[in-house]
Amino acid sequence: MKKDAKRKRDYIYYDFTRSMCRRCGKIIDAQIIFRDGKVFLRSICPQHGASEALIAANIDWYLKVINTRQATDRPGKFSKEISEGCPYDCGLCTWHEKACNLPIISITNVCNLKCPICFTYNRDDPEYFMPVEEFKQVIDWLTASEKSIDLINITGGEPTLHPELFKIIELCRRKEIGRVTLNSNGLKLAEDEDFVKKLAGYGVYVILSFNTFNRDIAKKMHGADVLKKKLDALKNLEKYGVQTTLMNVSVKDLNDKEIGKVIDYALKKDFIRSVTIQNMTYTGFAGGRFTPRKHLPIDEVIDNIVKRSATVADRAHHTIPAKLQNLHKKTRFSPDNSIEHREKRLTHDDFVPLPGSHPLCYSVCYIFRDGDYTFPLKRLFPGDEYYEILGKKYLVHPGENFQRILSDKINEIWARKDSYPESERILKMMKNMIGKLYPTGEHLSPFERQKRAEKFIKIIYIHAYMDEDTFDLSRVNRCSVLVPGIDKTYIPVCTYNLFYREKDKRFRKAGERGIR
Amino acid sequence: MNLDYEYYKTTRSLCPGCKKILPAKIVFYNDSVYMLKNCKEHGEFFTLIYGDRRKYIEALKISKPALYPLEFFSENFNGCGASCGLCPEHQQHTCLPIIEITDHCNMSCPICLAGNHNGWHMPVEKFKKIVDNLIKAEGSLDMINISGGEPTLHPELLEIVEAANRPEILTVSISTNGKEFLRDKNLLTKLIDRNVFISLQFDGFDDDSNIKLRGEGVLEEKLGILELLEKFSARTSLVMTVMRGVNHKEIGKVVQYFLKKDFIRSLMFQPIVFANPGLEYDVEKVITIPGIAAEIAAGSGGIIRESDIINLPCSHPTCFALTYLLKLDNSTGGEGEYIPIPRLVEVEQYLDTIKNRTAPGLESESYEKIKNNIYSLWSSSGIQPQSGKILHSLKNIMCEIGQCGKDMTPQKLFNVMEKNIKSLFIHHFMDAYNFDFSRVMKCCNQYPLDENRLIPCCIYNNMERKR
Repeated sequence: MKKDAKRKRDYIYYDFTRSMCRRCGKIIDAQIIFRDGKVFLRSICPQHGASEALIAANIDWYLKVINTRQATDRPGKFSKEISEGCPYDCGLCTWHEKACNLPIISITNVCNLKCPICFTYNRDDPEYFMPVEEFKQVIDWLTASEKSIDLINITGGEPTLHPELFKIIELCRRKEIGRVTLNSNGLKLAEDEDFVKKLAGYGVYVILSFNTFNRDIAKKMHGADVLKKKLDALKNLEKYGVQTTLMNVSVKDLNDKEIGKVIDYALKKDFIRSVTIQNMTYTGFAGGRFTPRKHLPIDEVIDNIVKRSATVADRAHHTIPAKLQNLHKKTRFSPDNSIEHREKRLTHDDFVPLPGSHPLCYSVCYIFRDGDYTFPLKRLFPGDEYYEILGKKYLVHPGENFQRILSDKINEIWARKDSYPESERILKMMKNMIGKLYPTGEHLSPFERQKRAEKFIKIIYIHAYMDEDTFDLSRVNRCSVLVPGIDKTYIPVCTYNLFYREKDKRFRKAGERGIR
Repeated sequence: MNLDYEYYKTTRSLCPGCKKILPAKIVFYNDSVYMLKNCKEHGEFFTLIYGDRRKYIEALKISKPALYPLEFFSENFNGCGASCGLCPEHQQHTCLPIIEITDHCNMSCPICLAGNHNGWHMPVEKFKKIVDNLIKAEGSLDMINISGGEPTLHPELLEIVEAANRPEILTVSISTNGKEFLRDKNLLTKLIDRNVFISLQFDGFDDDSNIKLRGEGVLEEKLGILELLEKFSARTSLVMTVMRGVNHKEIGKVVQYFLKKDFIRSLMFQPIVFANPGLEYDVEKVITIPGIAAEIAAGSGGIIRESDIINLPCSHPTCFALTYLLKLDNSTGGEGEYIPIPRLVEVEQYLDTIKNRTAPGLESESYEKIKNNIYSLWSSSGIQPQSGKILHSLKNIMCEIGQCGKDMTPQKLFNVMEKNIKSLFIHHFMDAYNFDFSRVMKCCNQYPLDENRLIPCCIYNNMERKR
């Protein structure tokens, strides 16, 4: 038989989308392709040729998450009609598919570090501090258009350098707003204990940029010797009980293998609520020049965590009553029975896409926690109830549904004790939680209940921002992290970073051109 | 759009009004798959593109690597749809070229997607050049399809068929409404002598629906044509265009007829395409692959199940679905019985077997796979309810192939396979309503245009065809 002379492509074409060209910034056709078990976004610029960026290390993971239900939550209000097409009509234009989960307000471009990993298009010429009055305008329209806002994120630059920061925080104390989260590199927090104390007094949540315990790596990432400052900042935050998120930028082959240590630390500390891992994004004034450019997809971050975090196991292990030890060994949650302490490590299945985002933008892992005892939540709720718990937003809303789901689960565990490992301990924890969240004879506001629930939960978020190589209109259409402007507009954060910030008059001299 | 749909992804499509390229969303609604898009001038469009959400997701997963053509006629990619073709970014070679040799037609079907002007026949010389170029791009071809207009009206049809008679081309098929054969039986016998595959438009046994689809009650003529085809044992394929609420209930009857008649080697269903400007879009009339598969299963008397009809991994998986049916040995008497081949072999292997070719078993690699499957079936006899008959049939096929020994040519293998295996296809062409660039990028059905262009059918029909 005649041998077929045609060559096979070395990849499988899976899908078509639109992305951007790193060189000319134009929106162009792109393919999602599979090669060697991995998934790439292949952007094809008619002028500058094709380029590929890794978007998932594993095809199965990719197919699983993109086919996970995306919770419908369209914006209530739009400020623009569709005109030039995404991403040129922000926003939001009527094409956008997701209401805001997380408004990000940049109150300054000034920073006391110049991190080589910074993905913000941040230039401090001219210096900009948002006037308090302007901030008020933003908050006014936000609260007027959204009935209830779980959180307002204040960022920069370095927002702790804003001379009127506390006036700004004060403006966020409204019944419609659940909390303020404040991004910081930690320098001010390390140096000024009173400042931290004041933040604690205002109930501000701090998001501390914390990438590594290694001094040299910290130097590489931040461009300065900051490790001691970071540790001092943590000390102060702990001292005053400031609810803290560790924000970890994960860079392949630099600090990415350290993520287990960071999570271990976070799980041990009461004042730390969550860890947010952001895959290195090669954009902005510094990040756009960072080399080498190795994209780290979400599933590879999960893999790093699964392989390197032992905490859930070690700590749980001590609390298992002797009579349950045998049962524990046989649980279906234990892929590797050979090494005791591995049994309750986090697994890949403990992470799911956040239903209120695009599945390639966020993965999340909730860990139940009661004193010393921890248990990944997904294992209690392997089915659709888990997505119901996670809801449509960034934070869980522990309403009546949540109470019902918890109660049902308690009944189920009660009835089928043998099929749950450590059922006694889990029951104790869940009952304790229900008691605190739904106390008889006491009325809790939703925000108050949210805060109480947090005491029982640690969260690991993995958030993949997009850069010029990974930008995908399919994703940005579902963006829930929005930048509000004073003109009552919202701009999805990746679109803002890649298309709008460099034109933002507040941050740059008139007439100056962008880096492209 | 105030419906409570669930977002899935974005792609690009066309505006049915102005045919401009538009961004489009793929969304889920009522467990079906819809496309949502918005034209500044022509407003919002919400169109059904696939009747089953779960099957859509599963279909997309089965994609396989494309083959490069030997040559790309367009060197640069200027954005999909703007640089056909094929350009180097196109994700499949030309598996089935469709050559339109005339724009004359003796019917004027309201659903026609061609838009005929009755003014042009392709010169034979031009046809030869097209074939030369096809061979340049493809090396060899399993099949080329001659279409129109109505190709039997071409005064030099036989010369054209002769021109396609080349060692690099295994089979020539002609798409026809068949009317000419009633007038000129000689034409038919001459085509049969030249081993041409007759692909007959046949939309069912109900003349009311024929009037709606074809503008006239053609049933009597069609039955006459079928009688002729059977009499002369023409290698025949039926092509049925399906419109929901018009003739979709005829699917079962057509399947039954197909299974009964040995001369009909394959059956193709084409969901209605709203490409003719005179045809008004009506979502109620839309039918997609899962809808047709359901009708086939319901009407086949238990012979074909929905799960036997598998999306094709070498085309875009939502463009084609098909099954092959093995004829069971009927030496003990009775009518031929059939069993869908997917039930005999592992799906993964089956997918490997059918990919990248129009007919099964034509690559030595897949021939080996089929053989191995047959052997494993041998060793597991007793599992299939009709295993005795199946094995007997397979044994006969193997013997026939074996007898050819080293003289086995693709043509001979093709003949053996064709005699014993019927194929059933669903091919969903696109219109501007469901047009999706993610599909067209992997199209394997091209129109060869002029001397040096191969253009995906749906791009041509929706973006370039003059009407």
